[in-house]
Amino acid sequence: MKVIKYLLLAIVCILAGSFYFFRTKSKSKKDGNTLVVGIAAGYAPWVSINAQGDYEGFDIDVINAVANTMNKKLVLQDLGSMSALLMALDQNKIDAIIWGMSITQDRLERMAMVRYQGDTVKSFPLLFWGKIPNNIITINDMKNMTVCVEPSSSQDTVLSKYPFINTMPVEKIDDALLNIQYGKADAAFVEPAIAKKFKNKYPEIQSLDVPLAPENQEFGVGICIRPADKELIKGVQNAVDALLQNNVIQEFEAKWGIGS
Amino acid sequence: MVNVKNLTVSINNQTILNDVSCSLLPGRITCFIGKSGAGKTTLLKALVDLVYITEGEIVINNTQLNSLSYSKRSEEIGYVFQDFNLFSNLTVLQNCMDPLRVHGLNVNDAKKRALDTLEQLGMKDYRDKYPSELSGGQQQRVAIARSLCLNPRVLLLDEPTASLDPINTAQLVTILRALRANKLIIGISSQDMNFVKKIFDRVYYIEQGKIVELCDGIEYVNQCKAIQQFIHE
Amino acid sequence: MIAYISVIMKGITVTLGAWLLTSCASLLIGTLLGIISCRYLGSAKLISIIRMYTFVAKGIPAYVQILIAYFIVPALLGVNIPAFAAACGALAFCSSGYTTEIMRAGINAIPRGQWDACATLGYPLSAQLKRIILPQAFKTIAPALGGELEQLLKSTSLLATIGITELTRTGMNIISRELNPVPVYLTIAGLYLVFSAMLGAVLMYSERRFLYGQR
Repeated sequence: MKVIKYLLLAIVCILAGSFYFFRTKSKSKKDGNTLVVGIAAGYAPWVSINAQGDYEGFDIDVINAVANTMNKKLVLQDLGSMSALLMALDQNKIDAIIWGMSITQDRLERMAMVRYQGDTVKSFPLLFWGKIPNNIITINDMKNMTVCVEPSSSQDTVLSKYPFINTMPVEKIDDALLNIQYGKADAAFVEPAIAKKFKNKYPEIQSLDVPLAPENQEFGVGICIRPADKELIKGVQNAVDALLQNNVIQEFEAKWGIGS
Repeated sequence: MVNVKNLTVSINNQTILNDVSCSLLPGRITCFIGKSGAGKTTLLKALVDLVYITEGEIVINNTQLNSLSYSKRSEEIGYVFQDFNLFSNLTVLQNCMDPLRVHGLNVNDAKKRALDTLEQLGMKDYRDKYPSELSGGQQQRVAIARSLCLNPRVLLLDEPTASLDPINTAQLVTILRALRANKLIIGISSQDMNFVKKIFDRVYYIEQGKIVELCDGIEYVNQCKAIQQFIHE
Repeated sequence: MIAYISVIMKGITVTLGAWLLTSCASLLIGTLLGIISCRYLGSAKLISIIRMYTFVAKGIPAYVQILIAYFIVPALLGVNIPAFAAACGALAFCSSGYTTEIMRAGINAIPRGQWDACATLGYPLSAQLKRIILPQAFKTIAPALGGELEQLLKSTSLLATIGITELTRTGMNIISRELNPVPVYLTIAGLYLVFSAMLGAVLMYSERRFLYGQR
């Protein structure tokens, strides 16, 4: 029993020592000259990891340009999912989020969003594999049909207004492609940029636009910042304005095939 | 010599042994007989500290049992269980060597002593077998060898013939007589009167946790009324 | 897919590294707690404390535990815990709930007589456990422990929750770029099968070693 007690004591000491080793003030990673930005790879062409293992994408180019304009050192923190990104922002682990996040009324009530790309979106596309069924003219004709959607997304909010449609949640929007391709779902409800990406790769995909009510419309995509960080909001806004004015972001759009 | 004085053992508020006094003598086989549940096994277990002693004392060659460390105690008293309790993950040789290694003997000496002991008990050829590959009688001999490897002065056996056939029982009798000749103190608990009759030098009759009668020699057995009654029941 | 071989290799390294760390920690903690909460050694109070530990460890989904370990624990304690450490720690904690139960069951299955035999032969507790009790217990619990370790291998995909690029997330990243889910998912599945097969071979070898004369 003595040996076991000493072993347990040793484990507790190691854990306590590790905490001491890892303890830092929560802001020590960040200082005035560093911009810590949360991303989530796996969403090409916005953010993904290339064959060499480096982060690349439209969002990466934009945030690099923003950081350079602000004369700050950029630190990217990959957090894997929307919930992790939002928690990290709340907890001051990161300064901002860049992740192709659509600007909606709902989100603007909770955080500041600096628009860097896209126009007002007044409709979302419904994607069908192959031909759109003859009897489907609008979304209201899709009674008892199954539609894939990413949970907690803007599309999910819009789809909840059509209770006669069966919703199939997909953790990754790319899985929606599999579902419509193999007949597990009748259609997929996605962002316009995603629809463009899918249609570029698979010409057999057809789309049907679903008009949005004003409260569901999106106003481009934005960099998310805590509302209280007024100085940072101003700095990022000025940087983005400068980049838009000099056509830098437009060049990135052309490079990554984003936008109209 | 082993002296037990006023031993009381209670388990879960039930008195199993009540004020028991007895002794085991060198070069003599002392048997404890009685019905099932009389307390025979508990008495033997008390001698190796497998049960908690409520009252009383046990003295081995003028040394209090509770003053000995568990290591020293195991070198004084060997115990052979009714179901042998050989270590199933070790071979016959390892079963005998391992306690010696734990007690600090080096590998070579432990191996030599183990093999010598196994040879005395006719089990040397089975050294690489596992207990599951042995018969009941063979397992018992290995269990005895394992205890004897530590050179104890006392050897206790609990119901040694419980799972033996007549041939193995006869072999056990031969082994115990040889050990007795080496002045070992031997204590046996048993319900097998045929076996007891062949082997005993002294016999205690236990009933409901108390020593009822002592028959201190084979010549007195006809005078021991309680024992006679038990034998003929 | 061939172009992504280096990121796939990195994903494999992260997955296997995380699995090795978490399984070692889980086995160590599970063995310790299993020993001290077994019928022969543990007091009623200690057993109920450890039962509470296993209840919490098994009762909260590993996904939630990872989020708690990475976000909530550092906030409460004012420390900075790296993502990999937080995720591996959470997985190890979750798995240790199961390994503790498995170990305790295995040790409790050892007949009382084995403990008694060790006591009468003068074995100290450490020798009892190391030489007799644990080897016998492992014989009984090897299949269950093996199952838990295999499950842990697949649970490493939860590391993606907080942005760690292990094998599954690597695959999802490739899919997002190339839009070729079928070959990617099949490749990832094949790789997990290879790891499971290797683990299975090790477990089968261990089980054979524990036969102790039985065929």
